[in-house]
Formats: sequence, C-alpha cells, structure tokens
Amino acid sequence: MTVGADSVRVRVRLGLRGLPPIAAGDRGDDPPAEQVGELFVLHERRVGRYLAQIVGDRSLAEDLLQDTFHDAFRARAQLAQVRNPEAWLFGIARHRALAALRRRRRFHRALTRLERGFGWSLEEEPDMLAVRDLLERCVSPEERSLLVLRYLHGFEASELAEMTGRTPEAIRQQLSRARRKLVAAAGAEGRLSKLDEEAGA
Amino acid sequence: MRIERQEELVRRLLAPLERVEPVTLVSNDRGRRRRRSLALAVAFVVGAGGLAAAAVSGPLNDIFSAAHPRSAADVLDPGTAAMLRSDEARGDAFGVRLLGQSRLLGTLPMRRRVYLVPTSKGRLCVVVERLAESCGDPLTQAAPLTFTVVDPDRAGRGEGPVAYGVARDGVVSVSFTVGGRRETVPIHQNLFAFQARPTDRSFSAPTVRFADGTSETLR
Repeated sequence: MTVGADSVRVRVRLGLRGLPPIAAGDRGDDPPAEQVGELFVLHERRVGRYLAQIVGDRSLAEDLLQDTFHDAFRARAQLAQVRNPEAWLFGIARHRALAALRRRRRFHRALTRLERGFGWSLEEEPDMLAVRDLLERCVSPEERSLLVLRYLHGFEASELAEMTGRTPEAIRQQLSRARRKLVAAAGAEGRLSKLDEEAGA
Repeated sequence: MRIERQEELVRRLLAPLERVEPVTLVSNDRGRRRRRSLALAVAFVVGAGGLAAAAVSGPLNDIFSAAHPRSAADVLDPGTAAMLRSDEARGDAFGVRLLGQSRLLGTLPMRRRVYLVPTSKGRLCVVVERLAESCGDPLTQAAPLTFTVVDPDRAGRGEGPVAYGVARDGVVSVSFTVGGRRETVPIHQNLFAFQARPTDRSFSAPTVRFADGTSETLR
C-alpha cells in the first residue's frame, strides 16, 4: 500500500498508539499560515463588504473573497515584510475585484450590443442601486475602488498607495479626479440638491 | 468647490453602500461556483468505490458523528478554508470542496479538529484543521474506511508515520500489519489514528471488523 505525504504541509507531531485519535501535526515550520488565518478572522467581514460594494454581484463577490484568501494564503511569505497587513489583504481583494470588473466590462459591452440593460444582480434598495449606477457611469473601476476604500473603509492615501504600488501623491490626485467626476455627475442629475434637502430635513 | 465640501458630498453619495451586507468566506456552498481545477494534498480512500454518483450530502451518509444539523462548530476556520482552496488550485478531479456543508468529526489530542467536507462531485474529504486533507470516494459497505498515512520526516527519520482515517457506521476496529507487527486500532466516533515507529515503512492493507463480528480486508 502506498502512502502519500505532503512534506511541506504535514508535520506529524505526536502519536499515541491507538486512541483517542489522532496523530496530528502543525505548521510549526510555516508561521505565516497562522498569521494569515488570524488576518482572515479579523477582516473577513470588511473585505467581504468591500467586494460586495465594488462588484455588486453577491455570488461574484463570494468567489472573489475566496480568491482573495486563496491568494493571500499563497502569498503568505510576504507578510513578514508587510507593514500594514490589513492594507495588504485589501490590496489583494482590490486586485481581484478590478480584474473581475474588467472581465465583466468586456462581457457587458458584448451583451449590450445584443440587448439593452444589464442590471446588478443584487436585490438592493433603490438608493443603493442608484449609487452603483452613478459610480458605474461616472468613474472607472479603479476610481470606484479607491473611492470606496477611502470614503467607506477609511483608508488613508498612504495606505492606498501601499495597496496599489503608487505614491500617496498619485493616489490623492486620482481620488481628487474621481471626486470631481462623481460630484459633477451627481450635480448634473440633481442628486446634490436632493442630498441637501435630505440633510435639511 | 473646496475639498472638504467635495469629500462630504462623496461620503453622502456613497453612504447607501454602507448598508451592503458582506459576503463571507464560508457561505458559498453552491455547486455552480466557477473554480479552478482542484488538487489534493495527500491520501486516498481504501478500496474501490462502488458507489454511483452521490448527491451533495451523500458523502456524509452513514457517518453518525457527522449526522447532525450544521452548527457554528462545524464551520471551518478561515485558515483551513484557505488551505483547502489552495489545495484546489493545484488541480484535481474531486470537485469543489463544499465548505458550507462541513461537519466537525472530533478534536485531536493536539487540539486539531477533524472535519468531513463533501465535494461537488460527491466525494468525501477528511480535513485535519490547518494541516492536511485527504479526498476520495464516499464510504460504502465495500469500502467503509478511509486510510491515510503521512510521514513528513521520511521513513527512518524523525517521528514515525501516522495512519488515520474515518470509518462508516458499524465498523468497530481496523487492523493492519506494520513493521512486521499486527496492530488493531479501535474506531471511536467514526475516527481512528495510529502512530507507527520511525523505522516503519509500509502498512499492509487494512482489515476492518464490523459490529456484527464479521471482518473484511480492504484492497
């Protein structure tokens, strides 16, 4: 009978003859695995919310969350050099989300040649849908991602720079452009006055 | 327009998205997921799988310790879930691990938990928390036991190989020959484990004994 073993993952520690089971091991030679696990526990919901906010489609967001954690796990050796693990994890999620949005955009263009309309698959309230629609029409996926990370998740320009590999100044400029576009579009559609009315009420 | 005013407007415009419910790592148990082809770390299920394609919940049938409504205790921790996804990416034929249907089988002396995870192709994976998984056909009367051996230190060095596995209901013990010795290990809560000596190199085919006193050697 042959036996297989993954010498990287499996490290058998103990053994009692017989029971209670079981021979177990750990990843004592792979501490980043534990660190990644803890990171997941801490940030799973936030990253999950971010992905759902960005891509709109829950099943796609779930896939992306799995992919994010998968990528993080595979890249866990980097953690030793990472200053901000949270930003590192969000950076991986962002990369995944943007790749998915680019794919979807191409698909969307092809689809709209055939028929009009390709709505979000989320069953959301009208104001959420309106925001998504505005974002999709007015800013690029890259800008959308930055706006959400900055204004809904509170990341500073320096942290966004770490995620994206750009300078903080470049991030500030990109955020500024995105803000201007969004506010201008919202103004042209009469949304700003509505916001002011709501604030007044 | 001043930056502060612009930022305030953007925050208010985006505010409805704060109500978006997060997706979670273990919530997705749909078989329709796109997924890379899958892989397997180590292991195999002893015996020929005589069962036809099983339903998603099928692989957990006849394992009493897994036959309970899913609770929080059955949910894989994110690290283990990530480990399985990482294994999947290496490519194998077992299907997507249905993390949403995992069941906790027991806890190891080293405080590692053992889970059973069915796959989208009706296979059964035995998962040791943050350590290893072994996947194969579901347990049947003809193949009532998974039998996995790991020896990370390689034969003759470090600690000896370890055999462990999951048994179907009705199996009370498993016997095998290792290092010229005949060993019998009882099944507790559908689970067994055995630590061999460092010099032990190979295990014979296991023989299972059933509660009715009959026994059968698995090939």
